[in-house]
Amino acid sequence: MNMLAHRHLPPTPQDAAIARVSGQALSRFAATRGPLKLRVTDAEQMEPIELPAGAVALLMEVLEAMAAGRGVTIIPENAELSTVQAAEVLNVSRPFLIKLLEDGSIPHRKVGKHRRVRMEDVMSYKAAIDNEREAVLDQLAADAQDQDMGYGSK
Amino acid sequence: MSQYTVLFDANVLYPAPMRDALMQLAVTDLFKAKWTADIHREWINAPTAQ
Repeated sequence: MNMLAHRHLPPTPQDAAIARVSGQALSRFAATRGPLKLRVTDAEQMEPIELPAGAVALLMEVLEAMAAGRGVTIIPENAELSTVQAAEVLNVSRPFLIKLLEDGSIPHRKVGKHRRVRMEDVMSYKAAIDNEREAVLDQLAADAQDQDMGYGSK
Repeated sequence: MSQYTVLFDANVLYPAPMRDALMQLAVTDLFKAKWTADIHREWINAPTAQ
């Protein structure tokens, strides 16, 4: 079964204000990067609810985005994306994405006429290309320093 | 995932420190860095003219 992306539209100003306060309160505890035990005070509930470390980190990201008034989309690793969605994730045009699918840079499958791409394949392509970009930029900066292109005298 | 496009003019592409700093930000998806072939020719001429 394929999981769907969970999309939340930008929050109301009230919700953004709540997120700002709760995000700040939670960030002190989230800084340990471990699991957290929370207690719900709206109900008579004594047993704390334990959140695993990964869920705490995600919750912090969600609250930060909401505090800034941004909507949030959570996409499971095994979710399948349309070519439009995959192009958005990679910040490339759809024709460029199609080229990546056709030359095999990113695996895909066809459902009828439509191409489907797995989120984890999109993310591993992104990680590879980001590494490559970092290496090129490091080289560029190193060359600029060697060739005295504005970094001042050595 | 940035929706912003930033045009780098020749004075951003050379001298190198500004270019290197802004390109680093572009690679973290803060914005899309763009420049034209004309702008590229212009900055290439700057170091060779010295």
